[in-house]
Amino acid sequence: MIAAIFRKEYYKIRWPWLILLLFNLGLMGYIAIATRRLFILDHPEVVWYRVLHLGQIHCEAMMYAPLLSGILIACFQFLPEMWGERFRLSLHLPVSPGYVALSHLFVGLTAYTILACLDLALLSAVTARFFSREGVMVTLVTALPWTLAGAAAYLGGALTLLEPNYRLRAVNLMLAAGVAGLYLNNGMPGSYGPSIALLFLPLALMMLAILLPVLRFRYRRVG
Amino acid sequence: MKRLPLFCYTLLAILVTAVYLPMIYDKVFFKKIEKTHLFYSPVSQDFIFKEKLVGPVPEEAQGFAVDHHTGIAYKKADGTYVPRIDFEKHLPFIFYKNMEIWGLLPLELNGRAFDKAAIKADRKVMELKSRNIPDKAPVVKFWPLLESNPGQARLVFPEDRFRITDTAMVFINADTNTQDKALTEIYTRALKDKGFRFPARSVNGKFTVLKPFDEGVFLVDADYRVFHLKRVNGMPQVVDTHIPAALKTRHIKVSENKQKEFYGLLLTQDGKVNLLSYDNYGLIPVPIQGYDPDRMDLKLIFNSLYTTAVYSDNTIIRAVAMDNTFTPVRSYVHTMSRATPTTASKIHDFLFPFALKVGVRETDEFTRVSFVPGNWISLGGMALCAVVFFGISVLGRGRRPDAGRLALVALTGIYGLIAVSLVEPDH
Repeated sequence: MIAAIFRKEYYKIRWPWLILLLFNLGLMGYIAIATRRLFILDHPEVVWYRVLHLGQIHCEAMMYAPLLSGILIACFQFLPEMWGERFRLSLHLPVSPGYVALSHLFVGLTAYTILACLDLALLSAVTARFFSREGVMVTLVTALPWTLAGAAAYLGGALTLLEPNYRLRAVNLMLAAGVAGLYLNNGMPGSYGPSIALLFLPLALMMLAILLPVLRFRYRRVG
Repeated sequence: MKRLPLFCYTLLAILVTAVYLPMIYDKVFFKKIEKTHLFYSPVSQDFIFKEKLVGPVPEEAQGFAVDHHTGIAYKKADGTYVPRIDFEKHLPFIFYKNMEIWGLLPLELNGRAFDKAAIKADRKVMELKSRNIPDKAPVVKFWPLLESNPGQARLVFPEDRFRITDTAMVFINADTNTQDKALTEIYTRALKDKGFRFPARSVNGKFTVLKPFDEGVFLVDADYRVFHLKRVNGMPQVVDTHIPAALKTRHIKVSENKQKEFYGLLLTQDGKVNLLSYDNYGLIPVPIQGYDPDRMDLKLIFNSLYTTAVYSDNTIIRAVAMDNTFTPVRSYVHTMSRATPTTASKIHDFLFPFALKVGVRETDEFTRVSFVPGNWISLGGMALCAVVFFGISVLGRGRRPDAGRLALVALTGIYGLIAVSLVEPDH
């Protein structure tokens, strides 16, 4: 049954996901060109000084891309489900509603994680082409919170879209924006280093909290 | 199955509101007040300061406080307020350009005459901000080693940077992004020949070309011995400074200055500050009591007669004035106006039993999650929230709230009240 849900979700989001993949690849291409241009316009040692010492972020264009990816994947996945309350059909399968919801989230999170990991891998490759390993490390520590913001956006999107009550939907949207905002503070590059592990906690809470609107949707009450 | 999501949702709501509600309140009701500027006046031989006043301006200061900017007061340590011009006249070594315009130069102090050139020759400032200590900031451990004899007026960045590994000083060329094996071998050998034991505990230098000359870097080795390394005509020049390893040097704030009297400030593991002298790397302890480098910023202001060490945390500023032999002559402690409780701060304490801050702090460059507890005023707010929740439950729903939810609201105040109210409609 769960495998069937995976298949359904795969067929539902594969084309929009491929478009997102192309968008992310295009963005990484742009970052590669922009980074190369930095080295054309100035001496490499001066670019190193600006990026590694003064805190210029050469991949700033990526900052909000994971956020957009997370929101769009949530919309691709759950807007059709909420259209005419189709999700109710899935929730009446002979499987616990919790498993059904978590299976949907697993597919969405996997789709998002592939994009985020691809972004980070390509960013590492671009950075390693021009900078030393210290540059790669600080770039990854800078970009990782942005990808966590994307995960928060996906989970927040699910939390909002699956909520049947409009008032609570607005509240959930604010909660989602609040959690995503935690990862987008403007500090020095690499400043999130000591807090990254702790900042996985809101994501874990969010994932389990999504079951609340799902149960409310299924049973129209909870408690 | 239903309890866990309910618990997670409630906790999430509490966490998010504990981050954003106090932050929004602060943005609306608080202004960022900079720290007090405290000096030792060689004229009155006492302390004098300039600060932004929080709350109403005292009557005796009103004529003076609005002299330059509203709410800024110039006050002597004896409690008297002075106009801005008098304040500057008390500090002729700092405001020497105005002294010259006002025809007050040369001035005579302690039996000595000082003209503009004499004042300029002796004045300098050294600063050690808590947030700038390298282990309190996301510093990239990959540094340039400037050429100390550039053969021209301007310093330039070399085309390589170095890192210190467990066994070597490794140079990476920026043009090729590959290791420069020759330089790596030459510098590693030079350090090892002088007894340097890898890896380095810290690399200390002023990594900029915007300075009058370059003094290289100070490396603290694995045994806490301090080595001075310079690149002279491309080749390493290494000196064992013989600074006692027992001091456990934590950081050296290098500050190249044309006076060539001190390399900079040396901070030890136990929080003591020393001036690092050009005279055979001798250390001169700075006599500051109660200084905590992890919470406080330190500034040393030098002039022809005195050196003043000014150090402060978020609320209290302290200063020690020293003579030319660094013997304390006077000290002063002042609670800054920025620490004055206001109506807004009391309401903040009442409303918010605690706050979660995600971001950089005044003493740290890392983005951290910090728990900021409330105070006894917060207990009132927590009690009020519990009463409101109880009242809503009894009057609105005709039944008492369950003990768990009531306890949650009592412990988390407004955050808990909001969180349980969000899930209440379904009960």
